[in-house]
Parts: sequence; structure tokens; C-alpha cells
Amino acid sequence: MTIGYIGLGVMGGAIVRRLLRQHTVHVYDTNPVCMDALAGEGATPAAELADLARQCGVLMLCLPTSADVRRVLLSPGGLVESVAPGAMVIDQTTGDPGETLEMAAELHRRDITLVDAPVVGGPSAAAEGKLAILCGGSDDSVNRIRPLLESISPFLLHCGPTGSAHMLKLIKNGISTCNRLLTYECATLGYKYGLPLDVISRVVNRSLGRNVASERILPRLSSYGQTASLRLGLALKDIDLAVEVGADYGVPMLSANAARALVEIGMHQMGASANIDELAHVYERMAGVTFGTR
Amino acid sequence: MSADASRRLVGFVGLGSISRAIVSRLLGKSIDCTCVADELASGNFHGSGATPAPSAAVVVRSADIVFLDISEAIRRGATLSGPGGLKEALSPGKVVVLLSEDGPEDVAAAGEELAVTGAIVLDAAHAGDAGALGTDAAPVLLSGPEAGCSIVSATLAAAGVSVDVCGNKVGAARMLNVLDTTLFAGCMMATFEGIALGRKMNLSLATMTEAINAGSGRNFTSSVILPAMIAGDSCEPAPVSGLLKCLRSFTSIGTVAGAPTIFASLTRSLVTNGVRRYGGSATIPHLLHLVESMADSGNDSPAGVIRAVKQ
Repeated sequence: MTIGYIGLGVMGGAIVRRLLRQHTVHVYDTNPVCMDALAGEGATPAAELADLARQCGVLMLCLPTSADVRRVLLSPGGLVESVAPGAMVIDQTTGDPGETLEMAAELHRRDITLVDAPVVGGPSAAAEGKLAILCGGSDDSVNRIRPLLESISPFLLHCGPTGSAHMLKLIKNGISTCNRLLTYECATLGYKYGLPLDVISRVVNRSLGRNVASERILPRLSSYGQTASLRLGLALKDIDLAVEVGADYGVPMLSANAARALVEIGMHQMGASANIDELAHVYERMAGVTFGTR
Repeated sequence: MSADASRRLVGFVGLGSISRAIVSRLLGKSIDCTCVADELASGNFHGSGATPAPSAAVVVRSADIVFLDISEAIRRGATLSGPGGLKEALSPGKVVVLLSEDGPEDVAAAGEELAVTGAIVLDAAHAGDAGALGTDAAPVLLSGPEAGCSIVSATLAAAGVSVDVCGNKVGAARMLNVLDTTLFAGCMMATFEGIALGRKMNLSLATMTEAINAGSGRNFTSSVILPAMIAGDSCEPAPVSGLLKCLRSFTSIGTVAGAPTIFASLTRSLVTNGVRRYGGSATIPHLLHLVESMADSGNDSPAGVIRAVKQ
């Protein structure tokens, strides 16, 4: 199968590098710098999206939003006008499950199959082949692309029908953001009470409160060590989408809404390009403390 | 007090989860215990070697180290101060370990009141899976003056009970318990919220659990409680009533200390709602049902939640 990859940002680029170990990959991005970088690593740059669509039986996308995916696929001049019937589209965007379902139906009418396959893990996990890939689609569809996806990482979870993987990615992101902010909240009160951060870390990370955020954050909080690679602007986009989808489905997203507000405050205070670890400062400012020295 | 840790008499007023775990270990190593508690006459400890005492004051007067459940003592008519109060029974050199589900500030205040007698006052708490209490995985947390912590640690070590000395301030152990429990409860309710959303798309609990645990969403609820639910097993690492006490402490201390309690307040409201709706014996599946009912995800009762989980 001939693979085309559209969207060569932090995660898209990392995934393409992983694919290049076993496949020929045609790539496209509006940013020529990203294209040139991956061309230098063996990817085949496409001059236009239509060229890529004509050559490739599998089109993979990793774009900022589902609206971007729709624009690239289905707008006038979009990929569907050039791609051959029977092609597969794999959407690795952190997308809107409702939008994904609608696009899948529209693509199906053109005999094109859409599978949502967002990933869990960052660029370093991608480089090490340790991403978890969530898949949404029929059994036949997922089985068709399973070898391809497993060349990125062996950790594949077929979540259900199309859209289910995007839903699970949002659920995971929402819980993860809440875990992080809850960890800051508990550390802040403990610190104000006079408990050393290393004692809080030692007790919590052996107890009921332990979670991935507490395991990563608490041992490094006094040194403001980096625990993740995610900009606040993107973090807000993701939690915003989770809240919106919750509203669409009639689920009161109380915790996610609280998280959304705090992430937005962080973004306003520190900037959209600040790393998610900077959210510790939101709590520091509210409580009038500093956990350590920068 | 005997210099030999294994020859110290340990007394217990009340037999809550911490005390029960310690008494079992002490008796197993033939270390003398004297207890006053309703549980003593029940099947658990009757005839096991623990010496029954007629009153809290007798326990306090006779033991070298006293694990004192303040609420239990008061329930039995004891007072801290005044004629016949527990303070009268204390003397310099005794070690009192306060156990309480009250707030850390209340524990600290009780500690100050008792410390004027010259006794060494500590507090103890637990912040892990109650089933593993006293093991290296879930040690008893201890805080207070170093001399007292050393004495108690040595005695408990002789009985094979793991201890984590976490500070020299009375109330610190309870505070750590409050922090840990609040973090657990908050992550749990956020996880249940995600589960409710996934249910609306008919995602299975097994799939959701696996996806959450594959990445940064993993927490105690997703990695222990949900798999237990899927297997049809019970998993109640902490009573819901205990969660609520910790959440109330967190929010009240936060307000006084000037620390934000955004998630703690939200979680407290939800758990309070759960207790009001399902009663004082509400369980963790009840809280999942509460969240799902707010989303109208189709499960008509906590049992319905469990039935759906098994599908």
C-alpha cells in the first residue's frame, strides 16, 4: 500500500519518522520547513495535495482540528476529488467524534473508508515505538490497516466503530488534565500547611491518590521539572473539545469544565506556547506560594 | 517504659481500621495489648489474647503506648479534660497516638491539650489500600515529636508493622491522609465523568479502562477499581463517608489557609449528593451511578451500573 501523510507537526512528523523505518511515505504540509526536514529523512514530498491523493491508497492525517480535516478532505479541491475509490483515510487528529461520524458517512458514499486512529503518548513515545494507537472503525477496516499501524507501535486498541477512538482520546485527555490540576491543588494545600513536597510525593505516590500526573509532577515540583510536552494552547483546544462533546451528548462535564477554566487562565497568564507544566504557577499565584526556585 | 520494644504494653481505645491491623500484628508476636472497644467482645478479638479494659481511662493509665481514637473515647463518655478526664490518666513518658477522622487542626488541638501532661503526643493515619494496611505498600503514617515516633516505630516494627514517619507536627499524618483521599476522590469523579460520556457512545467499560490506563489518564480508580468492577469484584478502598470527611477538611482548611479548593469543592458537592441520595452506606458504585444518572446514560440503579459493566 502507498502511504500519504498530511500534517507534519510535532506528532505527525514523529509518526512519519516511525513509518519511514518500514515504508515509503509521501508527505504534505503547508509548512515547507516541515516538508524539507522529512524529505531529508527519506520521505517523498508531494507538490500538491491532489498529487498525493492520486498516488496513495492510504491517506493519513494529523491536523489541529476536525474542521481542518474536513477542509483537507471534503472542501472544493479537497482530497476526495483525486483519491481513488476503495482508498482508506486514517485520521490521527485529536478530533471531534461527531464530526468524524459525519465525515465517515460522506466518504462512505464515495467508497472511501475513514478510520479514526488518534495516538496516546508524545513525540518521544512515538520515536521509541511506544505510542498507544486507539482505533475506531469496522473490524474489516481496522484489520486492513493493522499491519501499517503496528509498524508505528504494537500497542493497538480497537475501541469500536468509527468515532469511538476520537471519543476515547477526548475522555483520556479530560481525565489526564483533571488529574494534573488535582495534583497541583493537593500539593498547594499541603505545602501551605507546611508539609514538604518530598513527603507529599512519597505518601501520595504509594497511596490511593497516585496517578500518572502525581507520579511525574510531585517529585519534580520544587525544581519545576518538565513532565510533559504539550503547549497550553493545544491543551485548551483538547479540553474545550471534551467539554463541547460532553454538551453534545448530554453529559454534565463538571470536572472537565473546571479544568477548562483553569487551563484557560493559565494560557492567559503564561501564553499559548507555554508548556502545560506552567499550570503549577496558576495555583502558586492563587495561593501566594512558590514551590521552589526557577 | 521498658527499653525492650516487644515488652511495652500497648493500649487501644477503639478498634478502627488502623488499630485492628496493629492489634492483629501485635498479638501475633505476643506483644501485650489492652483494649476497650465494642469489637473486643465480638468474634474478631475475643479470646485472642487482647486484655479487655473497663474504660478508656484504665487503658490510658496502664499502657506505655496508647492508640487513642478520640471520637470513640468521647462516644464512651470519656472527656479529655476535667475530673476523670483522659488527661488525668496521662503522665510524662507515656506516648499517645491520636487516631481521628476529624480535621488535622482538631487533631493538632487535641494533641496540644494532652501534651501539657508531659506525655508525648503523636498522630497516626493511613493513606492507602485498607486491605494492605501496615505493609510496606501501605504503611501507617506517623507524625509528632521524634522521640515518640522512635518509640512507636520500634514497637510496631517488632510486630512487623511498617511505619512512615512523615513529620514532627501533630496533625501532619492526618493532613496527608486528607490530601491523598481528596486527590483520589477527585480523580475518581473525573474518571466517572469520562465513563459516563463514553457510555453515551456505547463504549464498553473494558475498552474505556484499557484506553485510560494506556496513557496519562491512569489513576487508582482506572487501574484498580474499574478492573474490579469489570471482574464483578467488590473494591472499596475507602468508605464514602470517609471520603466526605476528608473533602470537608480539605475545603475548610483551604479556605482558612488561602489555598484554592476548586476541584475539592466540586468533588465534595458530588459526594455529598451521593450520600444524600443513597444514604450513609453509599458505596463507590453508587457514585458512578450518580454521575451516570446526571448524564442519563441508561443505567437505572447502582446494580444496573454493575450489570452494564459486566456486559
